[in-house]
Amino acid sequence: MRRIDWSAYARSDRLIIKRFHEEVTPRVDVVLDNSASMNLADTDKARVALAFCSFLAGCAENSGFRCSPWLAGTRLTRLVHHALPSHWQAEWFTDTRSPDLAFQQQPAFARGGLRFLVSDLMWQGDPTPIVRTLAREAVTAVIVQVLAHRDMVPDHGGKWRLVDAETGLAHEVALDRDQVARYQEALQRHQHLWRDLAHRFGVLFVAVDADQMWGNWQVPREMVHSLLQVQTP
Amino acid sequence: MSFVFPWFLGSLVGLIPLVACYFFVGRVKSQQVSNLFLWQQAELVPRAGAKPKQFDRNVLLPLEILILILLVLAAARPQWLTREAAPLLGVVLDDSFSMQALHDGADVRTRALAGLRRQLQQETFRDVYFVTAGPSPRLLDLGVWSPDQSDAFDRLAAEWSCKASGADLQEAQSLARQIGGEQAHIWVVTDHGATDAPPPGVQRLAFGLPADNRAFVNAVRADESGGSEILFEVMQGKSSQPFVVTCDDGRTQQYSFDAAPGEVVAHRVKVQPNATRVTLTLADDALVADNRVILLRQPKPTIRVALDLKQEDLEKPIRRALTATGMVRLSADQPHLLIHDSDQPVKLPPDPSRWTLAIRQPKHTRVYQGPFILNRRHPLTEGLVLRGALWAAGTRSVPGRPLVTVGDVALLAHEPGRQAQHFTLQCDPGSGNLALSPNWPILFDNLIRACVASLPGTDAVNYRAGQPVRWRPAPGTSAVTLVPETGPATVVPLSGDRLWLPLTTPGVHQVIVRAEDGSETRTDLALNLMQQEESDLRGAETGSWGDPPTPASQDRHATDVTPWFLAAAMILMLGHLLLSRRALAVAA
Repeated sequence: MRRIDWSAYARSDRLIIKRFHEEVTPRVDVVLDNSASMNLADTDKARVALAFCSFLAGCAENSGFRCSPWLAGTRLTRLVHHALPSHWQAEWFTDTRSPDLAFQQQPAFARGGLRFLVSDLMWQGDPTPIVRTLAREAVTAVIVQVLAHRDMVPDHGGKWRLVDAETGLAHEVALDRDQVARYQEALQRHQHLWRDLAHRFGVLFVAVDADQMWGNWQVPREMVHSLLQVQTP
Repeated sequence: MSFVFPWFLGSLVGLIPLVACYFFVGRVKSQQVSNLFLWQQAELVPRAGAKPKQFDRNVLLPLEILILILLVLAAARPQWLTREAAPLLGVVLDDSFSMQALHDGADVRTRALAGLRRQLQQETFRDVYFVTAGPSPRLLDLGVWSPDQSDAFDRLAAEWSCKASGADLQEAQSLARQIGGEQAHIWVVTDHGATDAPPPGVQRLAFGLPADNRAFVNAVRADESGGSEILFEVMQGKSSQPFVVTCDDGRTQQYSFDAAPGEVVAHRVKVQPNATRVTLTLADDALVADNRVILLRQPKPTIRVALDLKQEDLEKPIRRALTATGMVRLSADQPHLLIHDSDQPVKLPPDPSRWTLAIRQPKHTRVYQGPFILNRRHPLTEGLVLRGALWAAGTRSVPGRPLVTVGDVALLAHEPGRQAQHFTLQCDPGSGNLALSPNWPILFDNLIRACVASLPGTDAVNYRAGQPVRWRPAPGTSAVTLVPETGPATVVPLSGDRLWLPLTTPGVHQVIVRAEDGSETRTDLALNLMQQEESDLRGAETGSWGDPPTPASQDRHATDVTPWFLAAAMILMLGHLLLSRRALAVAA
């Protein structure tokens, strides 16, 4: 009864119910993993990550949101330029370590905004602080894991010297089908860890194959569905 | 190492694709990845087996290369040329005294030893053995002998005396071939060249030099009741210079001779009858050993013969025949020979070495004209000529091995014993003409000589080098010692009823016979080097005849080691199989 708009009823003789919803701060924080592993040689990983950021920034701009891009390297750095992503100025993918430490700085994300983390998540450690930071006081948080096709389906046969893109450390291994299968199992366990933690904190987790996506650009279905659904308090 | 089929080694090019495969398969490809920790997690589970797996992979390539190399080498049929694979060398050493010939102060033997040393340094042989060529060949026992040993040639020189009267090189060569087999190479070391090409595998090495050498080639002494005479023959050297022979029989006499080169001069000289020793000498020349001859007085052997004859017509011709031999003393005291014509002869002290001749006179006789059949191998029939003889005898054979038979009747028979010999003769001297014919004294002379030849001692006192010296020891002899003119005495081992005295060095040797009762008897024997072929140094040569051993002949002796290569390849293949299975198990 108390949600009936009595004034309107008096004027129009019609019962009108007042509906309330929390006002969303029209801000979007896009965090891009700036580690060197994002720029994996001979892959479209870097291009897709940047394109994703551009896509999000463009959508935010079109919707009247204020977009704040962040680069996560050894530190979390906010790009002050608010122009179109094509005009962002930065040294892309030059950090030689993973961005997990950067999230310990309690970044100044906008309260009640949308938050996106675009990264390959290829580091070892507890992802809880990162997911918690993303989810805290955010309306919607999305983790987009951008992987190269080679990250998911490595080549096999013969002996390989695997060079870490960030540290430059090398590791020789004989890659046969069994070894690749064990690697894929380890990758799935890693993704499962992130996905479970994201689900626990209400964060959407999306993984994309950069090489496939670059040829056939399509935003993941679950991401679209999540962003378009109405958030109720 | 050598290969029978070396072209198979070309198969080693098969290693190239194998190595290439391993290179391409095993090469390391580099790739950048987003992280390493996922890869390291992937390796956590099989890490325990990863090292062996990697080890196996690294080892498989060398194993396969090795197996391929071994198989290729085995196909090429490798042969290992080791010292053992080299042929045997048999060295025949001329042991005749001509090797003592001097030339510029060095004898042929010394030059031959130096030449042998040079030859052995140039060739490789598995083993070397030596056979000395004397009258009979002898394998030298040098123990472990190698030309690299410091005293090798000193030991060889000590055994190679070069004092033999001659060298039967052919027989020594046969012995060397028999010892070493068909594959052995044989060197014949001598001082004369080969007239014919040596057979394959035989090389003749001569180290002699032509030299002027005069030598005694014959010398005999005859001691008769009328006096003593010596007949000697001297061979002139390669020059025609006159030479002098000195005869020493207690007094010294010299005889001069002129002769053409190589001519043999004979001379007869009378010497004193009672001279026990006569020495003939020539002046020193290239070969000293043949410049002296010693001739000892030969004692006249005498045996005691007892007669027990009942028939008077038999005793007279027998006495006459025995006296004619000059070696008989009729005596009934311990006779060596008893001649009787009765079934029960006179009783004498028993003597196991006493000979007997029983003469049977049958009651019914026939006179046989022949043909007579004689056992010519027996010494009693030597010189008997029974053609025209009329032999009166019975119709039954006498016991024993027949020596003279007519028809199926044995007229003279022999019953051999261990020491004593028994003969049986049937004849009737009153009939026929046997006792009147020359066969009668010949028969008894043969009997006496055979009996004398059974007496202890030797048949002669003067020997030519190379001639066997037989000694019959008397019963009860405990030891026989041979004492040469120079050098150590030799105890001759007793074996049986006769022994051979090893007279090698020229000169006078004394034989000391010691009886079991301690008594000793001493007998002198003279040995002289008299061989015209050895003393004639005009044809001595230096050179080599025959083909030396070739490497091809050594190949025949190479050891085939193909089975070893195949066995090694099989073992490696087995190891490869095990490692491969192990790698597969680790990967699973």
